[in-house]
Amino acid sequence: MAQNDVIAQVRGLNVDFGEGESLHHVVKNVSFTIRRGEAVGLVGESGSGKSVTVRTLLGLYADDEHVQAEEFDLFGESTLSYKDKDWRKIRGSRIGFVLQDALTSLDPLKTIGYQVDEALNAHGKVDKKESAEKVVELLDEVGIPQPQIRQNQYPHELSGGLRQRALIAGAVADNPSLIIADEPTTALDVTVQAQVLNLLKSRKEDGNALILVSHDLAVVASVCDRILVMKNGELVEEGSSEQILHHPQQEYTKLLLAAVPSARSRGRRLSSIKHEPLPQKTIDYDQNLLHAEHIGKTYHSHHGGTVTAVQDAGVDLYRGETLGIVGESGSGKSTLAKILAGLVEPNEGTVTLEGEAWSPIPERQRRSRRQKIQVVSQDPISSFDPRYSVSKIIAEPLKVQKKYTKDEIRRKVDESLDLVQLPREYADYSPKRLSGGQRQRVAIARALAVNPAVLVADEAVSALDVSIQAQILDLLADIQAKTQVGIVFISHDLGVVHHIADQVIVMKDGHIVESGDPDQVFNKPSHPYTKRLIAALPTIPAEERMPR
Amino acid sequence: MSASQTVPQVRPALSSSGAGKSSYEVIREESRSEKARNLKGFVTFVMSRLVQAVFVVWSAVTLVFITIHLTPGDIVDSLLTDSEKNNAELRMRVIAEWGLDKPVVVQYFGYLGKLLHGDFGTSYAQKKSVNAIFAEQFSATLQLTIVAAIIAVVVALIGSLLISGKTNAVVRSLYKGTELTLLSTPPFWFGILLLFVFSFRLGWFPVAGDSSFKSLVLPALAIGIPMGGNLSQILRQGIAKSEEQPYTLTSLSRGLSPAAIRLRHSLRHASIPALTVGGMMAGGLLGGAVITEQVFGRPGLGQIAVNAINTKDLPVILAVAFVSSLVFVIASTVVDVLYYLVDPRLKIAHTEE
Repeated sequence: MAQNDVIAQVRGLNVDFGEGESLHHVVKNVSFTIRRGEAVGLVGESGSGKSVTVRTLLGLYADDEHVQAEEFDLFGESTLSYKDKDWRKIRGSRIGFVLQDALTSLDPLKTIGYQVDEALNAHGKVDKKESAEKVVELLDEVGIPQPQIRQNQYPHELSGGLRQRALIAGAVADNPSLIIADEPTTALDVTVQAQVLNLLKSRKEDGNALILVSHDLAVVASVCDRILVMKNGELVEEGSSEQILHHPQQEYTKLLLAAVPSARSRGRRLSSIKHEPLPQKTIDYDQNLLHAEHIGKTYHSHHGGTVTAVQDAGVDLYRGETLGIVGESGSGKSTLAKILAGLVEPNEGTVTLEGEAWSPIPERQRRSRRQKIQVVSQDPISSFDPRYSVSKIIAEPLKVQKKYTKDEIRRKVDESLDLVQLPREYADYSPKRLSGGQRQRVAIARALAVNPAVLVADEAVSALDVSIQAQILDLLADIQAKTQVGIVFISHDLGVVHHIADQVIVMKDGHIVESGDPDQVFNKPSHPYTKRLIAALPTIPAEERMPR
Repeated sequence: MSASQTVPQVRPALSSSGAGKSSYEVIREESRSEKARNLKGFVTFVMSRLVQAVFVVWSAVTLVFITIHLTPGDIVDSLLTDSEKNNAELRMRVIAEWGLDKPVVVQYFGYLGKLLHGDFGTSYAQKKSVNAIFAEQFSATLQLTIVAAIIAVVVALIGSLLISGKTNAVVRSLYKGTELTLLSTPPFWFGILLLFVFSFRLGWFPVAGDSSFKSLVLPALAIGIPMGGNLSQILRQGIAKSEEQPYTLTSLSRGLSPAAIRLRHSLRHASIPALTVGGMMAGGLLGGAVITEQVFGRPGLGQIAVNAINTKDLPVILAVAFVSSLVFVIASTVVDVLYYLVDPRLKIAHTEE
């Protein structure tokens, strides 16, 4: 390969944060090369140093960040002595950068047209008329319909997918030869994710290079030729996508691959490479836990009309069963979950819990049975009182019942911690000291402390790294085998639902479009929407991933 | 096949539904009709503000009216000189002349009626129309507060835009110290300091009066600079917060200079909290002016208010209450309109009302 094909040549990159006692070594001796026309994936969990690594390519450092490298060449020029002024010449014009979640990565107070225009004019003024035309052209290129009108809209007025496209339009405005996309699709629905990934792919096909940073191996695999795996600041493995996915050499890579939930992982442990079978679970179809029929919920929109969040939905959940509800944002799945949990009253239809009326009934009649159904949400830390210790968090729902002595509560807290496999010492910790996965365990422990019949998990693993997600999914399976709790599992992630659910519901625009056995629904979808969802889902094409 | 799968018993079918049309399409309309909606929302907003303003001003006036009638002392006393006070006949005549023999309720509604016609009544102490007194004195206060507000904004903008996280640490902490000192200095005390240095020592500015623009400088600085310190602190913190946001990283990654980012993006974000505080300050500006006017011996609302309260001059006190509550309502309305202009996200929130 010719020398001028090399865009970035990095050898022995080290990044530290802080000084003295609080010094953190975040990137350790990392070396890589990026060439024109190739797409490179950088995979790792949060805290692995992947974002910090790619940001050094743009000279974007925090104030207390120290970057050292033996060799750091961009476009054949050493950048070791670069000042901010020199970096600014590269940023945007030769290397473009796309962050995740355009709602926060675009300025909410400026129109998208303004922001693309700004990117266009960042390196010396372009003629005003020419630049106005170029903005529309760029928005059109990234697939934003009606760019003339859309350019005057603010980020919050656009859907997630269009926002992300507008962000990309700004990043490619000056036609950079390398695009760095840092978790560009993390907040997006699968069908939108597929569109954005295609857009990035088309940049690559135009001869530009792409670095895709993601915690999601399936996303990286669907776009990249080469994958770098990072862990704790070190590059643990590097190879072609083929090689990394099918013949991983390192334990860590194997663990990451094993942790990806999918149809193939059903009934097996995700958090170990060997995929041991999960404990036997029994579903008792004679014991109906939740029965909902003809559920409807409409909200008044802000200009007089009504928005139907859920329409004519029916749900049945049996003892020991996991019911998966999948759908994209706005599909009404969370509203349905709240109605099942008795947190939102439906306008139509009824819900019964263990055969007794549950909703809509007066709250006073419901309150004494509230402990029967518990909710675990996406972000546990915001559902904890920050001043409470772990034991106080778990004990709170027990205290509400006023029927336990102090010792009993203490014992129940310990039992709950055992159940979620957290050490009992953690009872005295503040949730702030815990990692994301541990916090989610505390949230589950709190939900289980009152022996609920039903657990509603609303995107409960969506914010977690894949390996932590694997542990929590295994944990839920273990708990279900032990307690026969019924689980309503809401997720936008089809792989997760296929892995965990015994029964699945697909929702779109408030309707249940398809339901049934997950293998049936996902392998032989009958509704066109489900087909589209499945087609859009990036998967790891690997029979080899089956356990040996 | 996984080992843990349960033997598939016959599972009762879900009582599920048929498909229908997307109801979400309702909220995704073209931007043109959205603009019309925004305008409609804006009009509703202004109307509701007007109603609110009437209510606030009415309650202020009513509360003051009740309070004055509840406080000990006879209002008639303020109408009479010391020598006249013992003259019973004169006293009766004055009571009848000013309508003080009528029930309080009648007096109250009589006052409101006149107020609706823009008539504030006649001052008991000065025996002349309150409207005339205000016409003479209010402009002095208005001048002072406007110049002070301009000084405050200029000070705040210069300070917050020049000082950033990357400024030399010594300069930065010096600035922060000055800022804190300024915002915690009472305007009258700051005024006395200014007088001492620039009038008594250097003789650049007159000590008292409102004869020229020169006499406006020191009192306006006395009010404006401490306010500027306060605003500068809020703007600076807002800018710092904005510069931590992902969109700033996006702007940096496109090759924008930190100065451009600060001017085009961060300042706008920082101005949202600054508007909140600025609105409250503008409302309180009159109060601040009262004391500063005393220090600098300037005519204005301050003089009027203090004299009126000392002499229990009810019509003047009511007029002061009227004007200051009106200023508060106007200030908060202006701030809300500015929010609306600065932050496009609020447009939806307003139409939702």
